[in-house]
Amino acid sequence: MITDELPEPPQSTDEADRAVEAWMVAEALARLSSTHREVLVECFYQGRSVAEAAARLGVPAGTVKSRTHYALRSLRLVLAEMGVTQ
Amino acid sequence: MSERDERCDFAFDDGAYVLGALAPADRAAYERHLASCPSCRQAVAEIAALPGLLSRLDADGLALITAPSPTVESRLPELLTAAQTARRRQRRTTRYRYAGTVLAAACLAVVIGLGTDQLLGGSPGTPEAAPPSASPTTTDVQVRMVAMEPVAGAVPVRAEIGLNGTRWGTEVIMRCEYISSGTHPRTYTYRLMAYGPDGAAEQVGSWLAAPGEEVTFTGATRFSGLDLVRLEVLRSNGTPLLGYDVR
Repeated sequence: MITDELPEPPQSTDEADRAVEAWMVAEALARLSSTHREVLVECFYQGRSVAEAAARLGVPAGTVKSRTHYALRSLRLVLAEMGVTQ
Repeated sequence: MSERDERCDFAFDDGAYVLGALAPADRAAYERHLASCPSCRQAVAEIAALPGLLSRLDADGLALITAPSPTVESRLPELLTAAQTARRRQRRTTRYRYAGTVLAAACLAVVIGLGTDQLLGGSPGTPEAAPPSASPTTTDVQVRMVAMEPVAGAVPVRAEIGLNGTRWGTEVIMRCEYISSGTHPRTYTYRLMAYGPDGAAEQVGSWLAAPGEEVTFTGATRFSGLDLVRLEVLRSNGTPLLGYDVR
C-alpha cells in the first residue's frame, strides 16, 4: 500500500517553484503564434483528438498534425530563449 | 531537425503523438512506424519532455492564457496566485493526459529523455498529501503504472512499475505477471533492482514467480528524483529480463 502520510515539508518554496513554473509555461505559450497556441490548447489542454481539433478549428486533420509538429518546435525554441533547460 | 526526411508519411505525427492526440489506430500505426524510423524516433525524443512542462500550467493559468487581450506580464501577479491556489486541486488530473504517451514510449524503448518528474508525479520533496488529519488523502494517491520493456527478446514475464517520489527516495510499486506458457514451467526467483548515478545499484525487492501468478508489491529506493536512472527485473542469476529507463 502507498502511504501518503509523509512528513510534511515546508510548502512555501515548493509552491513558489510551482508558481514560477506555471508562469514560465504561460509566458512561453504567450510567445507562440496564436495558431500554434490554439492547437496546443485543443490537443493537450482540452484533450481533443486530432480529428476533434480539426473539426473545431475548421482545418484538415493533416493540418492539425503539422501545426502540433511546428508548435512544439516553436515551444522548444521559445523555452530555449527563455533559458529553460529541459 | 532540418535533416529529417520530410518525405516520411509520418513526419508530422510526432507532435500529436506526444500530446496524446492521435486516435488509437493512428497511434498504433505510428508506433509501428517508429520501430523502423530513426528520424521519427529522434523527432519524438526532441519534444517528449514538453507535455510534462505544459502540464505545469493549471486550468486557471490556462484560462488566463486563452483569454483575449492583455499580455501575460500584466497578469503575472494574478497568474501566480492562480497557480498557487489551483495547483493542489489540479495537480493530479493533468498528469494522466500523457500516460499513454509514456507507456507507448516505454514499450518501444525509445530513449526520449522523459524527466523523472513525469513518472514520479509530484516533485521530490512534495508528498502528495496534506497532514493526515486534514484531508481524506488515502484514496488520493494514484500512481501511474507503466510497462517495463524486455531487455533482450521475449521473456515469460510482464511487469509494470509505478513510482512515487518522496523526500527520502522513491516508492516503487511493482506488478509482475509470470506468463503461463508451458515452455517456462519453472518457478523463478526475480529481483527488482534500482540503478542510480554512476552505476550505483540497489535491490528493491525479490520474489518467487510461478507460472500464471501475479505479484504486486511496494518497495523503496533511496534514489530520488534525478538520481533514479533505471529499474530492472533480473533473474536470480543476474540476467536482466525487463527494464525501464526512468530518465
